[in-house]
Amino acid sequence: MSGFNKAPRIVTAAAVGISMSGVLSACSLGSNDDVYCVDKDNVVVDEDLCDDSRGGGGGGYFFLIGAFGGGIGPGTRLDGSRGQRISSTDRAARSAAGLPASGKVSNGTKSSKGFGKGSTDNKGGWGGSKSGGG
Amino acid sequence: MQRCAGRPRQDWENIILTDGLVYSPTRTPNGSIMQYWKESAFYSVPMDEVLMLERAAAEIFEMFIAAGDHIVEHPEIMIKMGIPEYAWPQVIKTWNDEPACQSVYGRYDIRFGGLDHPDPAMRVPKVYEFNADTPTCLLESAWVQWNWLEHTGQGTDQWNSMLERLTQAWTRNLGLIEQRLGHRPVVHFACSSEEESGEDVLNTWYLRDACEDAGYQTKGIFMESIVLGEDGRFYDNEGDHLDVIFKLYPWEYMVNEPYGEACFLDMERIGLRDEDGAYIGGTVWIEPPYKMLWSNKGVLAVLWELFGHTEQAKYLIPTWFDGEQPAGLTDYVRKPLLGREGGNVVIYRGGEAIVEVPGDYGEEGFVVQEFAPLPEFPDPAGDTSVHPVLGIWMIDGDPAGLAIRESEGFVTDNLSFFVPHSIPDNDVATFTQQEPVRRYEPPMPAGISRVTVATFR
Repeated sequence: MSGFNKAPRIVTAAAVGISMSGVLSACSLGSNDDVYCVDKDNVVVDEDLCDDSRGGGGGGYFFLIGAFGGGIGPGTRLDGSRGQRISSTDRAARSAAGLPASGKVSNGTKSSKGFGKGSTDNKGGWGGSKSGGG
Repeated sequence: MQRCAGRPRQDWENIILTDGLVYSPTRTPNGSIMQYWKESAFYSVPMDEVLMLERAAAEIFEMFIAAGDHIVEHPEIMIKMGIPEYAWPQVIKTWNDEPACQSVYGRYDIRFGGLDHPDPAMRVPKVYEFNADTPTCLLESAWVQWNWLEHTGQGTDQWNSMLERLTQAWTRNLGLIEQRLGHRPVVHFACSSEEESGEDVLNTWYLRDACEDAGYQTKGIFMESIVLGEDGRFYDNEGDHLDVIFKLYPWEYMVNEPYGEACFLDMERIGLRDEDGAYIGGTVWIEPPYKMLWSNKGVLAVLWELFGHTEQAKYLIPTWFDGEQPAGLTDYVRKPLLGREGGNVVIYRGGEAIVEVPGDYGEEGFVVQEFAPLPEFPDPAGDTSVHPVLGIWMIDGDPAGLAIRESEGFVTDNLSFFVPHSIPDNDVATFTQQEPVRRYEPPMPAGISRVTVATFR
């Protein structure tokens, strides 16, 4: 019953400002990104070349992850500045990017999405807004 | 309780953006922009009503605890509520945790028209539902409406001890969690990246700020960026383990998503350390899984079953699981068990559907609730009336503040307005008049990009 009168101050605006941009930059990946197997020139290649479980999957092939859209076939060059590139043989980097740590990933697959509105089996729509809250 | 004409602050649209209310400008279905925040009016709620509502909220909370106990003792009710069976062990485990340590907040939606309302039924608060898992309008309730009071002086006080209680809630809960984990955690704060107005980010941000006030280090992340490691544990996209994570994201989504089952398995290993003392255990989620018992409208049917024949029925609206309602009911509302912002709600009068709200909810089932309309307050700005719903905030189990939203229709949807309130009759004003701060020149930035520029004072 106490204190209807407490002044609800938020202090340290500067600190909040800094860490707010931290939220947004840490969240720059993973929302609606597409995954493509590319060569060193960011040209899309057959996804088998990024399958490190095949014998000899050596260097020279990468996953490029960004908002490129689906359905891009081998031969198309993607703009590397629009995405994140990781080595197809780097298991830790693959995991961190929301990919299976090893194996084949089909070109045009969506990254991550273990949780989130883009994941499968999700309800579509909210009847108004897309808020997680209510 | 009175609805009063307000004196809007000069350039208030800029002031509220500075306060962080980046999601106030809302695009309507016909493409125009309306402001969700309204200060051309305010509600004046006298102290005797505030004190009564506070007592009622505490009683209602005890009733919800009894309902949770009942469901946990009869878990087959969770089938009717659409809670998947694989989640039951952790729903029950977190429910039985003593002392409770994984919840900081929730908000009741209450019907109340004032102690002096001409209709006696409107003089007793009735609970429509408990937004127990993912309540929003936290920023408006705790910060924006307080600033409004300090800037305008339209009242002597406000039912608002939100920030102080939130900080205490983090201190108490995280202190207990620290004991369970065996180390002081970094607390992650998560919401969905797909909510574009900024509402989710800002509400999450406010809680994060209170957590830092409690002395904890925090990190922000989107739900979509959470990584499930090969070890079955959860990490952010920089490889840091999620020891404790607050999520503004519903459990009912998560249990149907690819990481859902792994998430519940992982919870069984909370507290494990290896022989070197390193933490190898699971993630503690705030709000906890048991909130699925309360945020599901099926709990209202359980409450009616438990308390419908007691004195505390006065706080309840008769509710049944769809199909279990008495025959002959003609004035009622059918609501999805798991709905938001009025989606898929149908209002029946005389047996006929008179209002149907579109939406994608209802897969888990419905409840039927007797029609209990919101009180009507005339809108001096026009010929219409408005219908206010009172939101009572429960912080760490205690009533802590009031939020009022009003709509033209009977369903409080996402085109409703947040209207500030004040207490008119404290002997002494409890605040110091402040000058408002405005940070932006028109045109104002749009959408979630506003988040990059909004700062709290």
